[in-house]
Amino acid sequence: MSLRPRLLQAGILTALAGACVAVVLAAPSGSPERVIAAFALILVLPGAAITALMTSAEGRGPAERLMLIAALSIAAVILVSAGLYVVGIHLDLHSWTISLGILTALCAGLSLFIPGAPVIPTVSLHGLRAPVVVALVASGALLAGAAIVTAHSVSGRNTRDSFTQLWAKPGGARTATIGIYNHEGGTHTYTVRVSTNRGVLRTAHVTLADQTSWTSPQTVPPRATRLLVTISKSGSSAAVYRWVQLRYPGNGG
Amino acid sequence: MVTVLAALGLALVAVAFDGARLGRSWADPALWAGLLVIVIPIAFRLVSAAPTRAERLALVLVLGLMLYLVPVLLSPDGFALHDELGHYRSVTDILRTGKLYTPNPVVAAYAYYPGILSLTAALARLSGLGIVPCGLVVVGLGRLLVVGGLFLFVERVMRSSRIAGIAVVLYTANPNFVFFDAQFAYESLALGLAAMSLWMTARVSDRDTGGWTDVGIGVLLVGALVLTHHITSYAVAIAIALWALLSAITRLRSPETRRLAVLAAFALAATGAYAVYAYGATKSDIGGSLTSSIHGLYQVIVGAAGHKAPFTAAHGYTDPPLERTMGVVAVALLLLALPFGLFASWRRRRQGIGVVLLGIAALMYPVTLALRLTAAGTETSNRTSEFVFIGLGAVLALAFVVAAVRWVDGRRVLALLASLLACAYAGIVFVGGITVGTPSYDTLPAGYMVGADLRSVDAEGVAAAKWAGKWLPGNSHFLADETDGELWTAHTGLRPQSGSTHGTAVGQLFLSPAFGAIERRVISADKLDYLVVDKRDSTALPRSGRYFDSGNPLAVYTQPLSLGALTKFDNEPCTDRIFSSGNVVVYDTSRVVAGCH
Repeated sequence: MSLRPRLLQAGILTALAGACVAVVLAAPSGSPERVIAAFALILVLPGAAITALMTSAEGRGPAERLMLIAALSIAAVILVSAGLYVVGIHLDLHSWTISLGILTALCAGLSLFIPGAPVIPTVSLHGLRAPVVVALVASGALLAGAAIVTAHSVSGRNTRDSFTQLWAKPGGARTATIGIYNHEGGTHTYTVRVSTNRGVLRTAHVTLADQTSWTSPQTVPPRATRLLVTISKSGSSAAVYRWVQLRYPGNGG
Repeated sequence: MVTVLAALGLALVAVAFDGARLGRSWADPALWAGLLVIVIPIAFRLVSAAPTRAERLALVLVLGLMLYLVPVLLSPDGFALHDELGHYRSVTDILRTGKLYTPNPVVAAYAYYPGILSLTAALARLSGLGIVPCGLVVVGLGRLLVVGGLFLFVERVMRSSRIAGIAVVLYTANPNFVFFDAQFAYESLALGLAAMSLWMTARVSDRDTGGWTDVGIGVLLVGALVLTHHITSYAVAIAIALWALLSAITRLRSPETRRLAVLAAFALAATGAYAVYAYGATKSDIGGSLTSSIHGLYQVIVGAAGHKAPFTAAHGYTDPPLERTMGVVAVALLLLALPFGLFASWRRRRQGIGVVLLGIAALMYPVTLALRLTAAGTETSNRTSEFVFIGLGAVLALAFVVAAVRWVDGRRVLALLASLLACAYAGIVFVGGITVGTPSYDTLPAGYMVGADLRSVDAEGVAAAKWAGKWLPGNSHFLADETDGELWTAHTGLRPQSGSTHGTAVGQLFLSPAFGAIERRVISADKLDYLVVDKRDSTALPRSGRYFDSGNPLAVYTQPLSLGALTKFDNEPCTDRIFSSGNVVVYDTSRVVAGCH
């Protein structure tokens, strides 16, 4: 390959790496543009730049080169991570992003001096006939259907697997945090009863929507040796639904 | 059309899983039907002489992807298997500490082979997505590299894309392919790197097209593989070394021998050096398993011990009769065809060293089956299938194509009949492979089961673990049954305890009817801050045969744990019942550790 296409190829790879580094460092976490940039910077660009160093393309068609790009990208990230760790660099957003960007740019730059094969595999869509397009669309629709069925199925199972969490977490000397988490799949009102061996401290009614929680601090009176917390659930008579207890031995009166 | 059918098969699998979640009896046959609709049409097309090379490669990629999506649909909302939860913990550790090699409390070796961990952590950190979606992408990519890499490897060795396509179909019949090798674990990615390394080795050994560039790529792939999985890197290093050795014997001064020698030297040096570095973490994992397998087989051979029934799990759980029969028939069919495959590869031995090596790998299949006569060897036999089936699939595919070219191709009716027979063969060994490798209860997402891997993970258990991750201090010690222990280890910074203390198995804490001096001693000695009780353990015997990962007080349980024994801590003045979600109860025992009586 002559210098001009190699220059173009190296320029494209470097520009893409720079753009991905900028987006990953600047865009909000989890945003679509950042996800795309991160996946490109980790799973595509390092391998693409390394394959640009290959001196021979013989026996490597577009499919082979695409697989090599993925495999070499994976290998590069694994080896770069190990290298960063060995030299004592913290593995975090900046070290990973910048090191992979530099690796891509470096390999792209080196490829200018090597008469390698064209790095971006060209997949021709010429000759893609209507039946093939229809088959691809039908396959996509079936896969989407499988995803929808699964999402609906898992959602239904989670609704059926309903429960409520109750806890009393000891804090300081005679304090605790009481909490409830509703996983019942709907809104419920709980009657919370907090008592000690010396009597009831308080009763409260707490209404919680599904997947929401309630916490409350609780002080334990000096002479109490046991803190008992119970909840009963609306619509299930006055039966105790959950209970927890903390003991304070040696403090009894 | 074939791709549409494969997608239809996957949709059928999704419907089967939905039926299983609703407790429908048709779910099981629907699952098998869906799996066969994925595999059979692709197999039918690949055995035919008509497709182009590009179509064959596309078909094996579709096959690999569709079969990968089966376990994804089985458990789409999070990792649930033992290895997955252990790896999840290590990825969390990397994201939390910014360092590799934080000790893993589940399996020490996980942290020492950080390939998949660092890749997933980087993907999660840079994208902002969770560990689970990033892990699914990584393993999915690994799966594509497995099937694509094997296709390219076998194609180069056998010089036939038709043989390569059929070889990949037969490879999917290895007992671990559909479920075990699709989990979020180091071996799943390592197999992809291994397949690509083997392809590169085949290129390096090629006199006409191989070159030093291929050696460079091979070095990168093997280097990453060494950091990803111990056994797979050993297997690949041995294969490359054998290849180089045989090449040196036959063509000492050739350029390809020199290239192979360099690649082999690197593979052996890197694998050996890293094995020494990671020895402490892997000796019990690999050494123990291998030694007990060989010892067990020796005991059976000399008559010092009885053999176990093949194709039953070590603990005695047995699949339904039909599935067991399928497993036995599949093995019989593979053994029946093996001599023809070996004969065909022997006749082609002059074609290249790769053919000989594939024959040797196939020859290992009966040997690994013998290990199934012992309880300890079953696991070893299962774990070697990923490597043995590379050779087995290739030589059986070679035998089929040789026979087809000689007697069938060009005669339409005969060709159709041969294709149908080949597809029936592929379907039986595929189904049989799954029944041999995966217990039937783990192939469907039906209701909760005690001690049954995937089936023991439910929303309540996961929510309890997440609660602990938020409310309990990291580095505290806890004891739980196997499933809750794995969930807590994955979702918290707490440390599980197992094994024995002063000769008492820690699981004894949950078996003894009363809380006494022995229980206090175990809690104090193991510094157990929390006990996690799952009351469902009192409802049934564990399917896996054990309640605890290690530290099982009894070799064999004859009845479920007693509910009274599990909840005896309610009445103990030195323990606090701090959490309850109905089935899962957490006790704070830190005051016992501090000396409370």
